[in-house]
Formats: sequence, C-alpha cells, structure tokens
Amino acid sequence: MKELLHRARAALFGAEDSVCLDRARLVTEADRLFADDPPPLKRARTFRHVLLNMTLDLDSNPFFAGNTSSAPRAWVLMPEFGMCVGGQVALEHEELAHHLDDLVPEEIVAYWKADGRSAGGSAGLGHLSLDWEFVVTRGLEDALRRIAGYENDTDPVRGVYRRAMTIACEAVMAWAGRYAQAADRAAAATADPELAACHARVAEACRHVPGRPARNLFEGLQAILLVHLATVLEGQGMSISIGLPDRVLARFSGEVESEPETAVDWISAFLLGIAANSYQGRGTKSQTVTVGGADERGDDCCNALTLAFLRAFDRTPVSDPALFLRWHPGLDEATWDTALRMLSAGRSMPLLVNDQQVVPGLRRAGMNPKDAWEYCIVGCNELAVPGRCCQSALCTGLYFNDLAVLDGAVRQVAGTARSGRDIVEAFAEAFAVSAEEGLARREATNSRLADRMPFPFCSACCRGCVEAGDDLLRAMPYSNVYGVYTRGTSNAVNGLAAIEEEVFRTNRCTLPEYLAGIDAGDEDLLARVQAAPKWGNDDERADRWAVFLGAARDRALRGVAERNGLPPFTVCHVVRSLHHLDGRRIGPTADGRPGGAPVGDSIGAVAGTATEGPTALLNSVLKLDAAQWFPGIYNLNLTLPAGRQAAPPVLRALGEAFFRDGGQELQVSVLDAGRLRAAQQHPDQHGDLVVRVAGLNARFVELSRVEQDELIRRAEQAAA
Amino acid sequence: MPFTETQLNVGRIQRFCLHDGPGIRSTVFLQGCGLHCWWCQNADLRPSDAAAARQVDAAALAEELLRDERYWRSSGGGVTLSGGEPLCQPEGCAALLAALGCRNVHRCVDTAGDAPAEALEMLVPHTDLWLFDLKTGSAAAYHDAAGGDLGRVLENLGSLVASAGVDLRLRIPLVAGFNTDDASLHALGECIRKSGGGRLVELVPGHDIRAEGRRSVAVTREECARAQEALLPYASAVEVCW
Repeated sequence: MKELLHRARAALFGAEDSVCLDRARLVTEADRLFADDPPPLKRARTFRHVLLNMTLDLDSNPFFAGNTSSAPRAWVLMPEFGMCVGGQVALEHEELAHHLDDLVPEEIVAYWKADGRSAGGSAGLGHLSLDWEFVVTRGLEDALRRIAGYENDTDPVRGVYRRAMTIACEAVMAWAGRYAQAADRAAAATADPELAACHARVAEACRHVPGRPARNLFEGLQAILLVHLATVLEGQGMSISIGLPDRVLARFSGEVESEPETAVDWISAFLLGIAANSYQGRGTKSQTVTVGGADERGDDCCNALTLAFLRAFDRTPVSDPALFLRWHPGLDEATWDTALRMLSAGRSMPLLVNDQQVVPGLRRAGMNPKDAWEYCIVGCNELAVPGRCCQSALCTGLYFNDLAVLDGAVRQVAGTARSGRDIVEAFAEAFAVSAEEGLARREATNSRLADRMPFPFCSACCRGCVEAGDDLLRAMPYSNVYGVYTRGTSNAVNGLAAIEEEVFRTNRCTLPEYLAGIDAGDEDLLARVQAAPKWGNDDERADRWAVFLGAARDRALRGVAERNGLPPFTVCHVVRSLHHLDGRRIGPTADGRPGGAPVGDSIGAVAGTATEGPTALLNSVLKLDAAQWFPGIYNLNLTLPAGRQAAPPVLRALGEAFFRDGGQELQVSVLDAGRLRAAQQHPDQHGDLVVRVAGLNARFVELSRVEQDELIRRAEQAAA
Repeated sequence: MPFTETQLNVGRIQRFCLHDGPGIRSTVFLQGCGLHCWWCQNADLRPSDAAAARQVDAAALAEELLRDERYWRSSGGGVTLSGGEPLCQPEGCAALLAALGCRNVHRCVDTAGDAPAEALEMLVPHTDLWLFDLKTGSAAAYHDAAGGDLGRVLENLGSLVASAGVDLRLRIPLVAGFNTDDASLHALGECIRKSGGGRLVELVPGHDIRAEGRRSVAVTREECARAQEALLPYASAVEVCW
C-alpha cells in the first residue's frame, strides 16, 4: 500500500500542468445537441454527456475512483463560462499566465465566442460546500425520492428544474457505475495482488455509492470524492470544499481506531485525488478540509477521523486542499498537540479558526445555532455551512479594498476635514455608496447565473433546492445573507495614524499638503510617515484607528442592509494574492505606500512594520471586535522563525491566549529563511515544502519568484 | 527629568522573550551597569545617562508590561528584569516587582550580583527566580575583564542560596578566549560547588560581535558541549541557551 501511495504522490508532484480537452469537447457537443432545451435541462444533459463519455483514469491513483481530466494536473476547461487564466493564478505562477494559449482548438474557441455563449469568468462561482451529511448517509437516491414526491407540483419552472436535478443525479450514479465496471476489468487484468485488491475495493464501492448510503469508511471517502469531482465537472472551479469530513464520517471512527494506519493511508490517497483533479492544476489553491470544533451544545466533535486527517496532511503535504482546524476551549488534546507539532515543524497547516468568535458572527448574520456551529471554511478562508449557504452568493460584486476606499474619501474631504474622525466618516459614506452599487451588481449577477448557468447537480446536494425546485443561488437557506470582501485594512489604519500625527497633532502640514507630498514622493514627509505609529505593534496611537474604521464600516453596512431589507452582511477579510493585484491598481496612498506596491497580506502588520514581536501584533488584532466587524472571518498571518520561538509549547501559549481573549483566526507560518533560499536554488530537493503565502497554501518550489522572495523576506524579518 | 525612588531608568523593553526565565516573558533592560565586560552584548546599556533611556514610574511601567499578561498566563511566563544591572536601581526594581507581584505575575531578576548586599536584600521578597550570572571563578580574571569584585559576587550568591524559598539558576556566559579552557571551567565548577551545587546551570554562548569592532566571543557547539560536560558534575543539569 505504501508503495502504491508513493507512486500516486510522485505522479502528482512530478506532473507538469497540462490541458485536458475532454470536457471542453463534450460540453461543446452537448451545447449543440441540447440547444433548444431550457437552461436547467440543457445544463443537466450536458453534465450527463460529460460523465458518460469522460476518460476514466484508475491508474494515476488506484485507491479511489474519480478524475476530472485525463492526467493529474491537467486543467479542466469550462468553455461555457470562459477559458482564461485567473489573475491570481497568473500572478502566483508566472509560467501559467499563458498556459491556455494555442492549446484549445479553434473550433471550440470560436463556438463559445460566437453570440456571447460564454457566461464570463472561467468557471462557476465556487465557494461552495455541499450537504455532505446527505451525500454520505442518505445518498443521491434519496434526492430522487424527494424529487418524486413533488410529481403533483404543476409549476412548469420548478418541474423543469427538478427534472434537471434528476438527470444530473442519475448521471453521477451512472458515472460511478462506469468506474465499477472499469475497476472490475482492471482488477482482472493486473498480476499485482495489492493493486487488484485496490481495484476490487473501488469496484465494490462504486456499485453502491454515491447512490446509496456509505457502509464503511472507504465508501464514505469514495462517495465524497466522486461527488466533489462531479461538482467540478458540472462547472464549479475554485474554492469548493468537502466541508467537515470528520463529522460526516464519524460513524466510521471505529474503523479508524482499529486500523489507524490504513485509515491514514486512505485519507492520504483521498487528498491526492482532490489535489490531482483541481480545475486549474497547480493554480487552484482553495479547496479546503475543516476538522475539529464544537457543536451547538459545546461538545467537542473530534474523533479518530480528526486525528487521521491531521496525520494524513502531515504525511502527504499537498498544498491543496488546505486544512483548517476549528479551535474551542474543549478541543481534544491529542488533536491540538498534533496540530501544534505540525505547525512547529513548518507544515503551515492546519490553519486555526476559533469557534467562539466565528459562531457569534454567523449568528449575528441570521443563522440558527445548529447551522452556525456547523460552519466550515471554503476558498482561501471564507465561511460557509455545508449545503446551506454559499459564500460566492454572499460576495459577488461586494469587493472592497479599504485602502482604496479610504484614499478616495481622504482626497474628497482634504479641504474640510478637521480631524481623523472626519476622514473616517467620509470613509463610511463612501463605503455605503459602494456597497449599494455592489449589492445591485451582485443581485443582477446571481440572478443571471441562476437563470442562465444553473447547477442542478450541486443544487440537488444542497438543502432547500429540491423543495423549492430552484437553483442553489436562490434556494439555499441562507442565500439572502450577503457578504463583503475587504483587504488593505492594515494600510488604511497606518494611513489614518500617519495623517493624525502629521496633520492634526503636530500641524506640520495641511491635509492637502500631506497628500501632495505623498503623491510627489516627498522624501522628508515619507520618512516621517515611516516613523509614524504603525498597526500591529500594540500602539494605541495606531490601533485606535482600526477600531474607528471597523465600527464605521459596520455602521455603514448595517445601514445598507436595513435599507434593502436584508439580514446583516458578513464581512470577510480575504487576500489570497490579491494584495499584489490590489496594490498594482492604486497609486501612492496616505500610509506612505508607493503606487503599485502590494497592500498588507493579512489583517496583521504591513510587511516590515511589526517591530514589537508577535505578542504585540496579536494584541493589536485583539482590539478588533471580530464577531461584529468580521462575521465572515479575517485573515491573520503570523510568521515565526523556526526553532525555539516556534516550539509547540510556545505556539500553544500564543494560540490559546489569543483565542481565549477574542482572536478569530490564526495562520501560523514557521519559516526558515535558509531552507527557503535553499529550496529556491534547488527546487528538486524541497518538493514537500508547503508554505502559507497570504491567503493560500502552496508548495514553495511551485511559487513564482515574486512570491518566493516575499516569503524569504518574511522569514528574515521574523528572525531579526 | 526628576528621578524618584519609584522610577526606573529603562533602556528598552523586549516582549516575547523565551530565554530569560520560564515561558513567554517581557524583559525590561534597565539602563546602567557598573561593570565593563568586554564581551557585553548590551554595551549600550552600560552608561546610566544614555539619551535613548527613559525614566518611567514603576506603577506605570507595570501597567505597560501587563499588556502581555495573557501570554504569561498561558505559558507560565512573566517579567524579567535585566540590563544593564537591575541591582543598580534597587528601589525602582523593588517597586516594579512589588506591583507585578500584586497581580501574581512571575518575576525574574537577571543579575551579575556585583552590588551591595542591601540592594540584593531589597529585591529578595519580590523575586520568584534569580538568574545569577557567574562569569569566572578567578577573582583576578573577573576584575581584569569586568572591573568587578568576585568576592562580593560570591558572598551575594551565598546569601541568596541561604535565604529560604529562593529559586535560583546560575548563568554562565561562555566567552571565547575567556572562560572556555579547562582551568576556567574547573574554577567555575568549584564556585558552583561552593554555592551549594546541585542546581540548574544555564550556559549562554557568546555570539559573533566582530561587526561592532570588537573581537569575537563566539563559541562553537563543540566548545559548548565540552563546557556542558565539564560542569555537569557540579550541577543538577546544564542547559545550553542557544
């Protein structure tokens, strides 16, 4: 088993990104075949056409059935949306920026360009976690039975949508059946008894799941993997999550207790199956696994599966999916110990999230207690509840760079502001105006996508959609909870602190003169701005502006929600590598940042400005009312040098103190600058080095030079 | 600036210290020291009138330090007074330690012990752990290198050891070309033995300070291991604080 697992891992890590045209060809064929069908039926029949004709690959990873393309890391094209390389993917991997050039046959490109057939983007909205409890414990046949229960509903629109769901679910079961037959043939054809056993196990499982409830751990994992990959083949791209697998599979924890090594091996192979089939190869970095946490009674939910998932991630350090651990005061000690050892060893996983801040935030956004306690992470670090809400529905169109909003506001009131608080008020007003506009865009986008590009299979696996006979973007229980993405918050705080110091406290210059100096690159002014108090040093002179800013944004968003008859927005501080992209789009700003330079890479200190150490940084962040101002979660990176400062007891002390006193999320990177430099020079020797960049995990050797250099700088600063 | 008995002359404060006592600590580096050890890594703290220093009232300083209390509690850490030489400011240190004691903060004093016995006595009731530096077992070498009085150091060490309830660790800075030879280590061992022996000894290897225009005090890992082995017979344990 170890040897087979080693080969599967080598096949993945050794694979260069390529492009698989299977799906693109099949979708294009189907679009012609079903051109006259209403969108839900066209999408379902297209999905079926893909699943019945896709190449099956049981060789790359013989442990599990499920592949979205013909080879590991071959990109899955989704021409019905578009065929482009995302800006973040291009930034993180320069070599992939033109990956699709000349690889897609002209007839496919031309077909989708004509008549505006593509819906835009490069895939569905993602940021979704299906109802995995339903997938594992009831199976797709249960959805078919529930759909059949609505045969007397005469509404034609709902009828069409439910018919589409039926076609889609039956297609996934048929796809599993194809794997069962292929695995039977493969078992008979091989002389290797271990491999034959693998194939036989897959064949047996695929005859049963995901149509019916899983009977054992292996079938549970197989069901999840097939359905997860089916969501990709239906057209979802980035940021699809398998939710809380230790909870969903808890009924099989006895198997893990009796054969823990086998379970860890299976889970490792399962993770490789997800990693090998992400839709844009190494560019996809936002599939997630969440474990641990408490339930609504406060009881710890850890079980043998929790530890097995941690150990599998430790043993098989894939960069995607990323592992998140939900912390709470009663977290299982063995789980917590293992997590701390992994972080101390520089694994960059798990990322830690505090139930005690996240759940109250979700409750404020209108979720009921049971649902709020079942949250998971989707995407970089966004929140969702499996099968009940979809973060993409929350966020489309409501993207903010706090620094850009502040920059606009400060220039608008430069002639009239008498204090920093006046600027904050202008910030709030600008934020509210932009939020109103973003909300209108979001509603238009979601409505257009739900009508034109529905996802009947994903919808059948989410709550409320079968009953409503409608798409998940409209029918999930919390589809009216909208979210806001923010970035650049730390820079905005530094800008306000510098203005306060320079303009309003010392009166060295007027606000217009200050802005003119910033724009002109006045070296004397920039030196003073550099010396001004900075966020992340537990310095009230800077930190108070974070409090003012957070409260002002919250006030503005509450007003927008109330005016539109909506529950409170969620706010998510998310960066991935957008801190680079955002920075490129804005000129010099009040914090002294040069035009085009990146904004902060987390809610922590801007690079190079934390001089007081990690406790001061965490203290600054603790001044934020996380549940109130970031009910969608913030993104906090803490970098420590390898060695004594990152020993497990130290990480435990930092993490527990931070979380007990109101910290919401903590992403610990333990970096050794020497090893990073060595990996940059000799990538072949450091393939297993996984790092946390800003909002993503990645194998260091696969990052662009820009990202590698940034990490080396972070490591050097942490060790200074 | 007026300087009262409850004020301290503070060179700098370092948070998240892991080498100056148990757990996560905040270390207060006090300004001013009567010694002039040529290997000193904090030479900027020697003069008592440095421009960068600030005078802070003990109560206010305690409040400032307490911002990190949550990490001390979660790690078993606290506050360490170092320097410079804390015993040069006994009144202020006692006031600060007393204020921290009221909040049940673990308090540590890192001292060379070369001060009047009265200064030491003022801090004893308010100190949970002493980090007592022992640089050499040779009075002449000590006087030449640091300008200090080893007899007074050893007397103070003896009285601390004799005091009921005092927790103490010996710290030995390992300095290349000063105390790493066999004879020096043996003499240090004898001092440990005379002070009661059987206690934890921490070796603090010197670092490369040639960049500051002085000769290097850096020791190799092999030299540390040899010192560790040589001193182990005199101590309950010998740890190297890299």
